[in-house]
Amino acid sequence: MTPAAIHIVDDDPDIRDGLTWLFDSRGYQAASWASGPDFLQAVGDPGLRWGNAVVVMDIRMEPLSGLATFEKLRALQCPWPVLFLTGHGDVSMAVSAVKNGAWDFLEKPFQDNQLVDRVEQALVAARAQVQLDEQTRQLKAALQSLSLREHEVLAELLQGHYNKNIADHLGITQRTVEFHRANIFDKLGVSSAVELAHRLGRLQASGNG
Amino acid sequence: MDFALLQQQGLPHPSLRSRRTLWLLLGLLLLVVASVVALVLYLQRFEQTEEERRRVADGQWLEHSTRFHFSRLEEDLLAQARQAVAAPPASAAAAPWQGGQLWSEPGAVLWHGWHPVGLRRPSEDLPPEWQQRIAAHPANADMLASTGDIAVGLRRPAYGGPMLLADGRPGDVVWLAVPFFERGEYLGVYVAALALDTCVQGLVPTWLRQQHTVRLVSDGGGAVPFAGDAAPYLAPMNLPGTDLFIEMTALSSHPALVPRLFLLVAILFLLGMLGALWALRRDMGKRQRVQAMLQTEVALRAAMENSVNVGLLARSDQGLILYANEAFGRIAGCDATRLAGCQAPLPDWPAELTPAHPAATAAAPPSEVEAVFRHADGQNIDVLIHQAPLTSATGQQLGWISSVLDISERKRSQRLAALQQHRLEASGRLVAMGEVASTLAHELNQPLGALSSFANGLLNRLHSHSITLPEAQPVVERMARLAERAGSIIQRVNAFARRRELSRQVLDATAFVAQVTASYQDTPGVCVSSPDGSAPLWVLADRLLLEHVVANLAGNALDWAGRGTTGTPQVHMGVSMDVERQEVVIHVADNGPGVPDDQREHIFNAFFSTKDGGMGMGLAICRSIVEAHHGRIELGRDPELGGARFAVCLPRHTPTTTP
Repeated sequence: MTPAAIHIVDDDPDIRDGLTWLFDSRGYQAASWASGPDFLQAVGDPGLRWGNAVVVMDIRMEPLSGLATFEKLRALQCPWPVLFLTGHGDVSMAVSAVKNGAWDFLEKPFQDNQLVDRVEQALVAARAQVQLDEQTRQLKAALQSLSLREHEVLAELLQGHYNKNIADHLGITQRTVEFHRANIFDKLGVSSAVELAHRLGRLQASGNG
Repeated sequence: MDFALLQQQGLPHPSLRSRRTLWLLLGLLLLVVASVVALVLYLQRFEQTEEERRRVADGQWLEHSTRFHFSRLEEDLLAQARQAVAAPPASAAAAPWQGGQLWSEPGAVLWHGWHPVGLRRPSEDLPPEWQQRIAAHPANADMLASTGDIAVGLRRPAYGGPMLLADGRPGDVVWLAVPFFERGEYLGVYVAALALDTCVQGLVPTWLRQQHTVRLVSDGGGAVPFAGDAAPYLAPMNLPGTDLFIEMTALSSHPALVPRLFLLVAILFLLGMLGALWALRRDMGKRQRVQAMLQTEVALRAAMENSVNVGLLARSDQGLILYANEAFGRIAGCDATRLAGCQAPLPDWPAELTPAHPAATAAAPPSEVEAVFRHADGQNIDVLIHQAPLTSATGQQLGWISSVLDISERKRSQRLAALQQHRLEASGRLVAMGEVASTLAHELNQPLGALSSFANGLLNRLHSHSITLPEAQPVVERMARLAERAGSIIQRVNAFARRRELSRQVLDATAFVAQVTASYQDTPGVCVSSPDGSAPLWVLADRLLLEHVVANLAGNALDWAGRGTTGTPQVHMGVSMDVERQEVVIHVADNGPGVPDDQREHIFNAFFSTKDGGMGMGLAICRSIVEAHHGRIELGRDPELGGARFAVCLPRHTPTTTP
């Protein structure tokens, strides 16, 4: 986890400093960046592991606008939620940004503590996301550890066949099927076929890895 | 005006009508001529017949008269014979005797004598002169003898002759023998020699002789009394024993002058009447044409009057309405036909229509007056009134004619347009205000947002008691600066919003620029040039505003001069004269990067700025000011320095008096 949990990107130094001071007063450590490229350069370090953080970004910036910065961030597969700050007349831009996956936007002038609250929510959400990602990662690893026969049995199981039928289909004894089944449950860390289906269903829903 | 086209439709088949009339007239004329000819012919025939009849009557009368007179003569001779028998006279010729006309006619009875029975033949008893005359022709004696014989034989008077002359031609002497019987006994014959010519001349009365030549002819030789007009009438004398006729020849056929004259006069009258008829017809045609033309003109005028929207009102000097057309009636809201004869102006009419109004009585040609007219229904109508004097043919002014044009619609549309324009401008201003507000919001958001962040952060700290005073001081100072920044924005907006009235004065541009740029003189790289001639370049300008323009441009130039690639910042300013356009040009040039082409269009727009923290008001205000001075501001690239070059072109002022 990076030390800065909040990244502030704004080309106006006053805003930057003010927000930093605000987050600092609420006990959050914030890092500020004067422009999109500066920020991208800092977080785009290949060695850096994505931690739990939130990006607060002005939507109108020079030379790289907030939206463009956001696109590049997405290209880097950054999981951080992005919160846009919009001026008068930029609301439609911000809405489209939200549709494209940004976390939220706040229109200036905003209640400063409301901003902090939203950032907190984003942090919680980001944390949950991180956990979910971890689970998914583990499940994927477990799936990869299954043997070929176990994959076959798993596919049959997911179709809801009984052990006897699976044995018939695969041309093995029922006892062997039970053995494989126990192995699969053990490897994926589930206790029943229902839980197994639930887990795998969630995995498929989250974009199939 | 040519009404031929209109008239052709106005007259119903004029050619057919006139042709029919022409035929009728022609027929009438023919009838008249025929009747005249017939009348003449009939008159001629009648006259001829009458003449003939009269001639015959005259002839017959003459015949009878002759017969009567000769019978009388015979009676006379018989009486002579009786006398002779009673007392045989010694001289028969000397006996006094009152006889008939022929007997008493001198020269008619040449000789007479009684020959009793037993005497010698009468021819032997004659005086010697008669003897000679009888002897002149051998036939004479026989004729005399046979006459006596016939008379005796037939026992009635008998004639013989005429006596032939020596050359054999018959003379005019005829013998008359009257036998005398007494109680059936022949006693003798009384013989007389008659000069027939004289007899006839004596018998013919004067009136007959005036018209006819009466001549004695012997033996008409098959005389045909009615042989022809000119043929003489032969009246037989009926003297037994002779073959003599009285020839009557009309002296000259005197036609009856009076009836002819009457006829002539009648024909003349008739001709005159025909001529008058013809003239009348021609006059009628002319009248009809004129009437048709008049009708056409009247129709045209009525159509014109009804078609125009301009109300026409004619009135006398005394204010009596002579005429008002329908359009006027519509404008006034009353029946136009009833207006005529009323006294003008009626109540509610604009004063401009009264004869006493100066606009109405102005001798000058048609004056235009706008007025408000009150319609009968109480509605006000804007009208445009033209007045012109109404003069008679003799040039005497009878009154005034006014044309009243209803311009309320025009006025309404004008008002509407003005309102529209006003609204448009208002909405334009609103849009501009919206833009200003939007820009202002953006400009103000930044410092205010930061200020808010600092303040909230500070508050958070204060709440948690995690701040010391020394820690708070720089934050508060920062907040103060931010508030100042926001304040400066408001100030700029105020400066723009405050519209100054121009207070123009005549300025010498050269001296003015030198004065304004005096503060920059010490800045390195700034060079102020002045024109060669020392003649002042006058412009009419608001000193303060123009100063703002020059200062703004100079400030811009100084800002950008340093950002160029050519090193040390350089700014050139100066005044020059554009002789061709008569403009004074103040230019400010720098060696900065210049204005990119894609921004040239927008650089003068309000709220467009490429400067950090710029509101984009500077150049917009500059342009407004220059345009308010009827000048213009031009942007170019300076050929010398390579950067932007702004030129303020102001119209040159030529003062009449040097200030």
